Amino acid sequence: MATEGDQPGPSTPAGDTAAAKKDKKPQGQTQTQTQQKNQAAQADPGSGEKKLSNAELKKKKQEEKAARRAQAKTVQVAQPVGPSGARGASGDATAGGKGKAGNPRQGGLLVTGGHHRSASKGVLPQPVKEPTKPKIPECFSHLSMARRITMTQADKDVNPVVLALGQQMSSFAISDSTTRLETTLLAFKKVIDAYTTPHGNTFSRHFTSHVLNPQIEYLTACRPMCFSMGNAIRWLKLQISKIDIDLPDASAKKILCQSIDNFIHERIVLANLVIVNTAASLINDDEVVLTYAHHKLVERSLLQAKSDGKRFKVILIDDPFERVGIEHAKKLAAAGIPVTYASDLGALKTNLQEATIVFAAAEAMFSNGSMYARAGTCDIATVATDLGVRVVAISETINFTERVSIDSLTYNEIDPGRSTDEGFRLLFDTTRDKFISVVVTELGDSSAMSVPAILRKLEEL
Amino acid sequence: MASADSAALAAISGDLPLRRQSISTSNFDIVQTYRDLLASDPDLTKPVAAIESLIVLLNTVPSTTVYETLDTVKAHCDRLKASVANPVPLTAGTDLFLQYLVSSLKQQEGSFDAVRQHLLRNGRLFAQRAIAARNGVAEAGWRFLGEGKCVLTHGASRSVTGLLGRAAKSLQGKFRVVYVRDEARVEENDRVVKELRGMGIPVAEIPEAAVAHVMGLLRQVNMVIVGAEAITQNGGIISRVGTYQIAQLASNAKPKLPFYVAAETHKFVRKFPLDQSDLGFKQKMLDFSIDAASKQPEDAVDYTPPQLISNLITENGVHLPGHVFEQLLSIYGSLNG
Amino acid sequence: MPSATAGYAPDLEKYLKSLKGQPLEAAVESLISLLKRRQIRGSEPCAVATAHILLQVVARSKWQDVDGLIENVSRIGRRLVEAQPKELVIGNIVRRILSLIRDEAAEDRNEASSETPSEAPMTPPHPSDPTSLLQSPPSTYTKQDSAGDYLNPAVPPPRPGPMPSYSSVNIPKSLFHLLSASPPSLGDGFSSPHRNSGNSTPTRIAHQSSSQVHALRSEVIDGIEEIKDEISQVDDQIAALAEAQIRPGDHILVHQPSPTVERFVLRAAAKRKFTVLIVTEPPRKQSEDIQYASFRKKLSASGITVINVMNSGLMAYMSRVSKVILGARTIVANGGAVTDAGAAAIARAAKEQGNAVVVLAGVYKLSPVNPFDEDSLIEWGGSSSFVSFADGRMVNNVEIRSAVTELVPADFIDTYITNL
Repeated sequence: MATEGDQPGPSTPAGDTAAAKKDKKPQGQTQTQTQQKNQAAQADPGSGEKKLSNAELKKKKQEEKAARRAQAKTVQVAQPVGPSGARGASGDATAGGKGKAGNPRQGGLLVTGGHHRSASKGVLPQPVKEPTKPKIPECFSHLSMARRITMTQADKDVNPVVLALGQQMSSFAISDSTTRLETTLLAFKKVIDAYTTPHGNTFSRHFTSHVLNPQIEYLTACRPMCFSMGNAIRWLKLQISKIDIDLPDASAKKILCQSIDNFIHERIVLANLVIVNTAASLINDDEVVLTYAHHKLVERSLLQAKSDGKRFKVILIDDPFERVGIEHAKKLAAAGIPVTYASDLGALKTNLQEATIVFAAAEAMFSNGSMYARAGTCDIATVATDLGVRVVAISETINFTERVSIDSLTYNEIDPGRSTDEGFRLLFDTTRDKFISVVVTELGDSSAMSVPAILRKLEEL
Repeated sequence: MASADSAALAAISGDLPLRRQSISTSNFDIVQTYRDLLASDPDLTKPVAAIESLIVLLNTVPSTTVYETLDTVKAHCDRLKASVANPVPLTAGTDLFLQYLVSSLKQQEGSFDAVRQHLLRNGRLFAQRAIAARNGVAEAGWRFLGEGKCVLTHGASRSVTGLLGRAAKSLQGKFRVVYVRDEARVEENDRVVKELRGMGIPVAEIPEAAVAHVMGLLRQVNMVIVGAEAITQNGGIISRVGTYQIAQLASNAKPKLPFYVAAETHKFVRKFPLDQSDLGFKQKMLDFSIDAASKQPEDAVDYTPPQLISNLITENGVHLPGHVFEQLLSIYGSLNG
Repeated sequence: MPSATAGYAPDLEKYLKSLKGQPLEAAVESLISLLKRRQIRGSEPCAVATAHILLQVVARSKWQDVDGLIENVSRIGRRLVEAQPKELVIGNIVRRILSLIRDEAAEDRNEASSETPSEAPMTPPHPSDPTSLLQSPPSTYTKQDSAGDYLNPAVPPPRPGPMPSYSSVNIPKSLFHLLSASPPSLGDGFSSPHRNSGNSTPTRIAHQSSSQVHALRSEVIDGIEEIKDEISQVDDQIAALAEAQIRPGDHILVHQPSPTVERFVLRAAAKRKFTVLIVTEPPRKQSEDIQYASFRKKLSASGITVINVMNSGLMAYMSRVSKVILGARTIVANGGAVTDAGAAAIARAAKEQGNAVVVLAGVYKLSPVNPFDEDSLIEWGGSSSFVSFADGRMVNNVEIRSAVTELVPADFIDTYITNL
């Protein structure tokens, strides 16, 4: 209805309505569908408007809103918003509730709860596209992908530090989840420092929705959030909301930055230390450790074991489409560890037959004990389990999520550089718990089945 | 009787010229002959000993019609089978012999004498061939052992020791054997282990209870090789009790260990066991009692189904268990008596 | 076979053309060196080349009788196999031709229907070594009616070697060998025991007349031509089964599709709509063209969605995939398939998910070789595509491995499709 400002088309106030922006999306079908529906919605009230009673009008508004929400949801899911998308959906449910009650809210969809949904807001390239824009194959269209927006497309509220960070994330210069997390939090500290609460607002209420959220949206647009970032942001917002309303800005900022520092220290720095030591202690003399591509934690664990005086060999299987293993191999070799480098998963069984233990670092751990890691990890874990070789999953607890994934196509990310049918690559896969012998975290060794227990424990903290 | 036996034995151990028997059939004690043969020649397997006994029998049969002869032979086969607890292995031999008679007689139409003479003349040859079959098994399968490999075995199969011996010739000391001891057969175990060690093979003896544990030690054991008393129609085996257990454990190990059976083709028998209770004879393993010790059957056997068997190593080469069915079908034409 | 097959065709064709002009020995030598240097590689080219050269051997070498011919062929066959032992197809073709020769010779002599020309048991490295157990004459069963002919001194040549024989003829032999010293069908009594019992000398066939030789030569040549035809028709015959295997809406995963696989999928594409996921090799150079471009074009022309997948571990996709179709270079006796490296991981992933794995291979690729050691079948390749020799730290301190082929165990394969 005209009054609600939900209309598609250039008449909408720019930069506000999520729904409008969504409608402008390059997903051609949904665009026309939404347009048609909205036009239908417009048409009907247009003709019968005068005849409907207020109650009926209101009912109509609600129906239309529900319909739009439903559309927007499908559009949203179709968008590469990633893990945050689902959370956004749940946020949306609450927002929807609020939206119904509070009509004047933009589209009822973008409310304080739905912070990730707002990813789509304000960041979209204009609908006019070159016809040759490559398309993601349909069967994978539900998966997330970095959209890599440029700095110019970013919302004006985005802090320059965050802008730079976003670009680094889009270009995958920073790609590992823990590093992303750490740099994001540090950047947010800067944002906090730079912030002053405007008159008539409180820090805790204003900051999140007006300052933090745009940063988050932008970063998500550069590359979908990893689960650890999601966890940390939830934590951060909780900290913000706990700040006493009467506290002056300077103190609030100090407290927050302190919390962030502690968080980083505990959940990342210390955690990594404990993990590296635990993992290194799993390596006995004369073991042959097999690992895949490269991960900081694995590298550090192996170097630690070496400096602990252990005598062992490494077989490094690389991801042939992103040969990060070469540098890794060189570093290990430089430390005096005998390394065999296998260029891909060819003759995997042969390579595993020489190994006695497999180290795999996880991008995230799902609550059903499945491990989310670089694509190819599951194949290695499967064959390792067939051969009786132990598979050690390594992850900080900050990467644990309550989400559940059974197969690798529930949550995944498409390589933005290879996202068309002429060359398509998925970045991750999901390894089921039955292929994992032990999960090493800063809380110690545990079996994959204990992940939910760990999650519950973390909730308490 | 004694003279018949000794003459029979002499025939087997010697010579080409035709023998003549003066003892009539009805006094011929095939059971004793069979037992004596087995006792006298440690290289004979049960099926071959059965065949040899039947050949001796043939010698005592006066020249009559083909069908009478066949009847006599069948009757003695039955007698022989009735005399042992587990007739399955020697059934392989008796069936094969009968089938051979039948098929060759069919072709001759009455020239039974020629067949008989051939069999008698070449008695020793068959025993030799049977032993040569064992060598054939060794030749066909020794390559499964390679440098640094470790094979687990149990029992006292001559095919297995033959195979290991053949491997030892080419791979002196480069492979190892884990031997599972059976506490009821100490002497036999000792003998086998001594023989293997005498061939330069490092042997580790373990109790039966340790099999799973040993298989679970990463890569300490690479494969299992066992022998069999009989190979059943579906490709399974009847063998010394304990084999089935080991096969199960090998199948469950990670990585799954290959399970090889080394046995000559004359052990193929037309029996299709459905499970452990269907061995072809009654074996009472479970003897519940509140006062006395339980009785254990002597020479107990069990049945290992073909799904647990990776390959059969025969003198004709290495085959999948399905091979047995094809072979039996082509020999016998049908699979029931 | 990888898409970069541009290299082989000219070499094979060039070689085949050169066959005409060259003397036999030179032709053999040049084939051996081409095989050694891997300039002719891949199952089909090797098979074709082997068939050609052996045809030349039959046609042009000197031989007086069947044994001589067999010896010539085995000798050359042995050398070819040694030139490239990992290419099992060479041995297969040699065996086929030897079996063909024996069959033709047996036919000539007995004028009875000969036994099935299935894979002959001889392996070139084992020169004739008949054990006393394996009797030379084909079973009495099939020769009953020709007992008369049987008597003449030209006994069919013994099948040497302890390797299992596959033809149905030998089966009764294997169980009765214990007892039969001779075929009892012989009316003449038992001269045969002396002849056959335990002797290891192959009975030498009497000198055959030159007309017989000539007839045999031309028959064998015809047979080899048939084999060559068969090889060339394999792809078509396999493709004929494509429609039954691929259903509309399927997602088919293919790994570095060989021409055989491509034909198979294209044939189905003409009738069905489905999606194809092609697993490619990592690109050698940054700016390489789209891989499998022509295959993709043909598929798209039929309205099929094609996606080039650039992942090394495919478990991630398996919940989406309905079937995996692999081409094989050889299939070994226990049912395992020798394929391009990477296929075993895919098959394992498919098995985990419960997806069907289909292997396409012409019958000429079936090898009676029983690999006692899987690793012997793996071919390792060069690593210069991803590590440059200038990278000292890598080259000096790190052992680099890159597999070219590997074995997919029989348990991971659900179906084999051949040209029969």
